[in-house]
Amino acid sequence: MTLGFYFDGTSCLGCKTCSIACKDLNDLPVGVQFRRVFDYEAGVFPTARGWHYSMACNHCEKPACVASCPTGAMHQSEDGTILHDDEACIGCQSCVSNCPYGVPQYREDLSIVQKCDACAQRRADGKNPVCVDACSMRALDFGDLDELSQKYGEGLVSELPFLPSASTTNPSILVKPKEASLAQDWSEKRQ
Amino acid sequence: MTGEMGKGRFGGGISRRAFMGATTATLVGLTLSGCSPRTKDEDSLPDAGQESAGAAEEEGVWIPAACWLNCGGKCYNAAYVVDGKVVRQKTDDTHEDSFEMPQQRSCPRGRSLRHMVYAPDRIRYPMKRKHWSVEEPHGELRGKDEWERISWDDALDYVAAALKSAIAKDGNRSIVYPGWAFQANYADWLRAIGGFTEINDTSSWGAYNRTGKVVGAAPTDGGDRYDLQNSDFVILYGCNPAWSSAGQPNYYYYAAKEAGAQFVFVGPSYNESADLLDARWIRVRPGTDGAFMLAVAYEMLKLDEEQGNVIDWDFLNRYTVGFDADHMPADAALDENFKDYVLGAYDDLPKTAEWATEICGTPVEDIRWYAQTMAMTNKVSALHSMAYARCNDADDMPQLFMTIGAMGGHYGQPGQCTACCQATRAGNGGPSLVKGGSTGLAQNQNPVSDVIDAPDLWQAVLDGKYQYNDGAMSDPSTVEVRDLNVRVIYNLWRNSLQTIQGIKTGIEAFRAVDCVITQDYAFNMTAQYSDILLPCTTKWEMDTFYFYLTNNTGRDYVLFPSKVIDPLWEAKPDRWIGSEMLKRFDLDPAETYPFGEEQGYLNFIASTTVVNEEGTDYEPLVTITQEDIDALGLEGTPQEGRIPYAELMEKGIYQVPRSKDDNLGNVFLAAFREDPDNNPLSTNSGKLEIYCQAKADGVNAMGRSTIKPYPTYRPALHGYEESFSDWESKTKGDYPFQMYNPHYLRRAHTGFDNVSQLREVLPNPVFLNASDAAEKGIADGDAVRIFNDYGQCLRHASLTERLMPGCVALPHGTWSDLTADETLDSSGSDNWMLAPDTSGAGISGYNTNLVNYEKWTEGNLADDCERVFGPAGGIE
Repeated sequence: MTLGFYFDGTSCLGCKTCSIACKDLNDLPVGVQFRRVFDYEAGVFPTARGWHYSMACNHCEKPACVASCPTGAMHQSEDGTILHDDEACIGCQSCVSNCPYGVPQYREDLSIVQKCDACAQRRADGKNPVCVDACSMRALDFGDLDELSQKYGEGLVSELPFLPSASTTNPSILVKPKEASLAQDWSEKRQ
Repeated sequence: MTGEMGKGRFGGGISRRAFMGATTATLVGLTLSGCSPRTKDEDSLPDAGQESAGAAEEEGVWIPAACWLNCGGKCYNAAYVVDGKVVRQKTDDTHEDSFEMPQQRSCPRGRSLRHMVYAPDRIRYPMKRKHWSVEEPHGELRGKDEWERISWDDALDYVAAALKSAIAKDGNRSIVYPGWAFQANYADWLRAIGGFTEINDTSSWGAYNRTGKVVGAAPTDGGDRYDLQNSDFVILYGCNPAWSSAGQPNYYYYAAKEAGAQFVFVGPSYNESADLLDARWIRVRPGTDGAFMLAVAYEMLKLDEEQGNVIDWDFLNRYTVGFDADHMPADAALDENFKDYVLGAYDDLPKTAEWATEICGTPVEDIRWYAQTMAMTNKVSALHSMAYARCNDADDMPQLFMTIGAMGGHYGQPGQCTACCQATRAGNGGPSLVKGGSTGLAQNQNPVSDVIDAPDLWQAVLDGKYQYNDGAMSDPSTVEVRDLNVRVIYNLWRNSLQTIQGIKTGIEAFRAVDCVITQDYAFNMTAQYSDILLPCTTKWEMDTFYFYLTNNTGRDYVLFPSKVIDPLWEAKPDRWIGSEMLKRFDLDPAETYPFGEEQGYLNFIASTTVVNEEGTDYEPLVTITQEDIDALGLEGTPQEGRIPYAELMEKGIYQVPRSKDDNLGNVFLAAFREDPDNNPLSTNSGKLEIYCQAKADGVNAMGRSTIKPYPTYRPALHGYEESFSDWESKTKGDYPFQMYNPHYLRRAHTGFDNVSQLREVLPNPVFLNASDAAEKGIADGDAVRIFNDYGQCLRHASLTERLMPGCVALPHGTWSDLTADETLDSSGSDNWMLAPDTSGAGISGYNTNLVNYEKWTEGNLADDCERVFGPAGGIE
């Protein structure tokens, strides 16, 4: 069993509620986001199309953050998710430098790194991660990737042209891609 | 910025602060929405701030919490309160989520409410501008003066003295209340002391506010979410529910797409909603929809001649008047009709697709495709927003959109409607299944009859006169110019200076009067340019009914929030302020407010009803016992309903589950379609008026324009044609770009714009066509100066290929950030750029404005999230 997030790129409307719900739960200050939403566009007028990508920790099978952590603060838990022990963190930011997805976030105010734990406490209480239950488009899910794959059908991917190569860390994600997001001529947008 | 930049975006690196230190000079443009990290305390009120999120659940309590702003959605929020402070929020988890019974999930603004309630710049105390007095107001210092903290008694005495002085000199009409006078009971005390001059702002509604109802196109929601799935085509005309109808509407539209409906989007940009729904884009320049739709009408006539079964003649003949010479209304004063106008009988100009494309920019083949799509053989839900009516000279747009729908017979049948898509009922229209009740407190009458059109307001203050035309649509003879000496501006529940067009003129007007009072919780622009600040509570600090809170929900549910926290600092409920003012006018508050707000809320709850299973009638929602009433210490009569009072208030919501084949569906205007004689519309003829004498007579009486009773094309004030110095040779003028102002998800109009975490995730750029910008040497992320004769502002550029060339999209509602000399707004406020001009029916023409822009190199423009909001008035 491998736990990870599912993201439906066809129905995400880029509202950023998932980011804000996560910030609220974790009481994160401005400048720190455990889940981020990126906005993209490809093509030329008048056939250009846009899309969004919502990403928290990918809880990779080959986590670069864990490999680079000198203290073991960043570690793989029994259920396979990547967790962070705040007490053991020395704030060296090796993980920040090594994660190809930019997931670990340095807390200036605490002088340590923190990141998404897929809402370990909520999951222990039998709930979904807060981002999943926040989405008004029901575009997010979390669980065993095999089960998610069954639930959401074929054509799911874990790599897209605007993402780092999946072979680096084997991210535990399943994405239903919007057709436009397969384009090679993408650019990121302020939106 | 392709692969290489993307790597940089995702890739790790040194911390943000180190990065900033190294490269401050070139910060802008290197990252898209990076914000310097802050400590939590920088974004919350000291003493009223948050505990750690680590607080265990059992320490606190979840309370259903109001989200009271006018955003276009209405969702469920709850607040987790520990020791009297909100430390966390959540959305609807009162039941399992399904399409039949969806959780009313809230948006990034709703989930940021605690940051607004505890905003560092919240108005904490009554305050007075240092150099103001009734005798010597020193109005020129408004917006520049220092603030002093004063007591509530002093503040209320000052306000009473200013009002009494104005009334003694020029009567109650010299008091202007530039807010929403129709709302709830906020202004009751002002009416009780003799009233005030009101304003009428078409604001979001545009022409629909003036010329919608009279033609038979009052904005009304279309079919419900199941009926939408019966459509072959769903047209979203100017709609952007992704940004304007947060909550569930987009989920419903997406379900219709999944069910097979093809979406069509009409507007100047391929917006987020169009993209979500894979809509076919029919591009039309802002303010030129008249040309586009007239050409659609022409092409439908032509197609009908060629192939038949395009125009539903039976529908036109039975349900409309004025389409052709044989079906004119009884009150027609002009021997002209729509069809002959379209064919060119009156001006030798057939309104062909070739004629229109030069104006609206829509390709000829797209106009013809749209005409074919509107054919009577298709099931079409033609849904409009107000955006295309929020233009100068858009007076005919409601009638014209209605006409095109009627030509295809798209009314009152399953999967077919010509209706409105806006706000909470977008994607799920129809009568309420849970009907909010009544507080039992009727709004009192305003003894003053003066009403000023919003675009005229500030100039009227400066000129001492205005044109009264509020009654024109029902009685054209009432239009007149009136002298008016405005002495007091009382701002209550509206950030009026920021939200009315022509801010620069507004500042002059503020500075010209004796006294400006603002009653608010937010230290917004209006407050900053006032003399007296009265801090009121937010809706988290009281148990109350409120228009946007309880009566403006989706059709399936009503929300029942509770008081979450005690009033912060020295904030007082509006009702308390009103009562104190009434005492200062020797009036008995009990006459105006015979019972308290808590009693009003209980009355509202008790009189709320819910539809029965058959969908035929309504029954009381709530069971209330004598023990409930006694526990509240209020008055009432025990009643039987579906849900006990305690359970309802614990949940904070009551929602009716739906299913595809239940009895609760809605087909818009089905009764009119079934039997028009017994279900007439509220127009003079009882039918859809394609020729409407009342429309023309009302608008023409206002004297700003001359329009026909049927819809015609007239170039809009500050519209596309005006962007040329010479139309024939297509030589562009000084302001060659058309600017419009989309509603933006960071804000509810101006509400929430001081919330830093929303600024972090929604950076509010100006959207520019990529080719236009490239010609000016502007790269993505560059700072640009946007300017016209009225104003200039700064924004970061977001270059897009999804916006028509020649167009600029500047999001609506930022909190102005003016330079000291008040010549430049680095926030990019729409109303700073919009001159206080109007035409026709006096519409606030947000989507017809002309500008130019250039790369701005005179300094660094910080990202919006770097703006720090300090204590209101500088007083801790």
